[in-house]
Amino acid sequence: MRILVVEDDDILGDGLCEGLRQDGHTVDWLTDGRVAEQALEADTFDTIVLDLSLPGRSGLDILASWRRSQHLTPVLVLTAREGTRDCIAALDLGADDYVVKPVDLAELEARLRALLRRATGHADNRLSCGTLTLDRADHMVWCADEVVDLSAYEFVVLEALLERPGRVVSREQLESRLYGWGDGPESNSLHVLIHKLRSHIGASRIETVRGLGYRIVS
Amino acid sequence: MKPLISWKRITIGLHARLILWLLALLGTLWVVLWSNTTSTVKDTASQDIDQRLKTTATLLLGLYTRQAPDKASRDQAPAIEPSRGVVLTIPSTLGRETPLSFEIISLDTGILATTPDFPGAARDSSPGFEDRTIEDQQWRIFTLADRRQRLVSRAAILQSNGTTRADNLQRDFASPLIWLLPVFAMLAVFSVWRGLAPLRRLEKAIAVQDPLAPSPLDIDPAQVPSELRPLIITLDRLMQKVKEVLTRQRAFTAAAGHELRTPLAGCRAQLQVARRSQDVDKRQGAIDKAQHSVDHMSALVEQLLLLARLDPAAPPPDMEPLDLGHLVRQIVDNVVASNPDIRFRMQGIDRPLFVQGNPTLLDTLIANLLTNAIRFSLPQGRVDVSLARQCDQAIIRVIDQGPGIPLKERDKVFDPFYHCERDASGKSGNGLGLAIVQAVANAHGGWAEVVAPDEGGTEFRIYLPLAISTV
Repeated sequence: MRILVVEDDDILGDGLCEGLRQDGHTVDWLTDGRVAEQALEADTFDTIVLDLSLPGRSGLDILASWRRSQHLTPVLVLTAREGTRDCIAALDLGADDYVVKPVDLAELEARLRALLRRATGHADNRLSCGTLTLDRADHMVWCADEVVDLSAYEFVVLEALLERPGRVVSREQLESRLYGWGDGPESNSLHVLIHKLRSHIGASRIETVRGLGYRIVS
Repeated sequence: MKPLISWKRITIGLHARLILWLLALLGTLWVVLWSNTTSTVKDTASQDIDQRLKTTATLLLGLYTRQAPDKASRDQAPAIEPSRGVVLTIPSTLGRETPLSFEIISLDTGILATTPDFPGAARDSSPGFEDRTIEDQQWRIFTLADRRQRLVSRAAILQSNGTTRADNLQRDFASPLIWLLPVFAMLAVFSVWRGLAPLRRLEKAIAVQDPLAPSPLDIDPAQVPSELRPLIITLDRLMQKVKEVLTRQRAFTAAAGHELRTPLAGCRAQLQVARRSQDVDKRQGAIDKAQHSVDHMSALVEQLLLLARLDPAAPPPDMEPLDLGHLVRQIVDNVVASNPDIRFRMQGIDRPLFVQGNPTLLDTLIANLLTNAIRFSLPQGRVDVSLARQCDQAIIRVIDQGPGIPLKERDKVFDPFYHCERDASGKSGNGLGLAIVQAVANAHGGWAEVVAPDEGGTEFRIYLPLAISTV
């Protein structure tokens, strides 16, 4: 999934981003409160990790501003402050989860998966369409009970398509999911990935909708 | 500890003490009253008896004298018929009181009248009062003689009757004292109990105080006796102070936790990344970053420990006479080398200015002030360091040309973990530097203050008492 991390501490931010990337997620990182407040205007993320003490604007202000602008992206609040007062304030302002530092990377990732699951209305970590099944936690894909071996990028594309079976996912959505704001992809790299995916799970399963994007069908 | 316990053992409560005092006073008063009453009663009883004896004898004599006034006027012996057989009886209407015995005798004719119990042996007593033992009985006798008429009247009473009289009087006058003693004792206990009620209320109010969250006593000073009022006001003030200290302590702990958690979280995240990373370079990078976090944390912990050591409750640091000018020059020289884009201007550091101080702590103080000044200086900015003497104080001044501190934040700059928003360049301290400056100044018997020079920027002033030899 595509995750936005808003954390002003260099080392912690770097560690979170690197750790979540190791889990196969696309992670973008902001350190300034004022920039973070505007981040949802132009981009969409699956989940957000938000630190409460930030330079510029406080995490609670940013959260309130996002919710006022009807941005419903699940937000996990990360804080170093003890006590329940901040926790209650954050949850009441629209946070979906709350973690006190220091946080375990695996736990953080599981919490983010849970947030995403809830946001997309899934009961567990599995996505499926026809005989195709994908497990988000274990990073496994089965096609008619056969395990399919996919690369990390192929997995991200398939996961994005399987979240909305039968509906079109645009090129831009897939690319932002793949690369975030990081290394700009070559123009045909998504094309190559789709081609490889088709060779793994069957060409007919992924349809190209010309001018719009791709969709997965059973 | 031991003397305290033994002292406690002999300490009696205020209630008991007051009651004991009151009872002792009451007891003394009672004993005095009792003995006084007893002796008065005895005197009164004997006077009373003497009076009765005298009255009876006089009455009797008068009675017989008047029987023959004509003869008496002629200065002749009265012709009173001897009536030896006359036996007088007095009706015992006097209740407990035993009647007197008396007789009247004519020197010429013998006994004129007598009560049957009059002791015959008393007949030779001379005029006036006399005590006699007759047949093992103590008598008091009063004799009155009329020489002209040659009459003698005697009244006598058994001494035991006198004692009975005294006892009766004693019963009437002194017996109230017997039951008054317990009543007064009870009243004393009650009044002490009532009188000390405000004290007990105060004790209760203090007892219910939560030591972790003290609050002002729930007692209106106007409602208590004036003697307790200053105590309650002082206690309230103390509670307020304890509360403030606790609040500050908690804020400090929370802030310390907050400051430590972020590098700790970073360190943990980086170590997890390193553990899961396949790429050797990435792993090395993550370990380096974790190391950096650990360094940051140890520096922070080091400063926290320094602050803890500078706590007013901790033992004072070792002091020695130090030349402040020499010390400042050394530190500035070090700082100049690592900050070539800042201009330093020094003033008054050539004159020796001795203070009694700890070199390491004063070193930290000056270094922290300089670090702070540099942090808020623009490139090519100027930092002024000056030393001056004012009465028996040495003043260290460090002035930067930075953006200055808003008035409302000025008294907070020395608070631990206070961060200034103006520090937007990304050069951020951990908020302990100035707190340490103040703590070091306080530990040396001085103080720190911040002022805003007219030409802008910030000026920190540290006042330190001069060593006695220089004063």
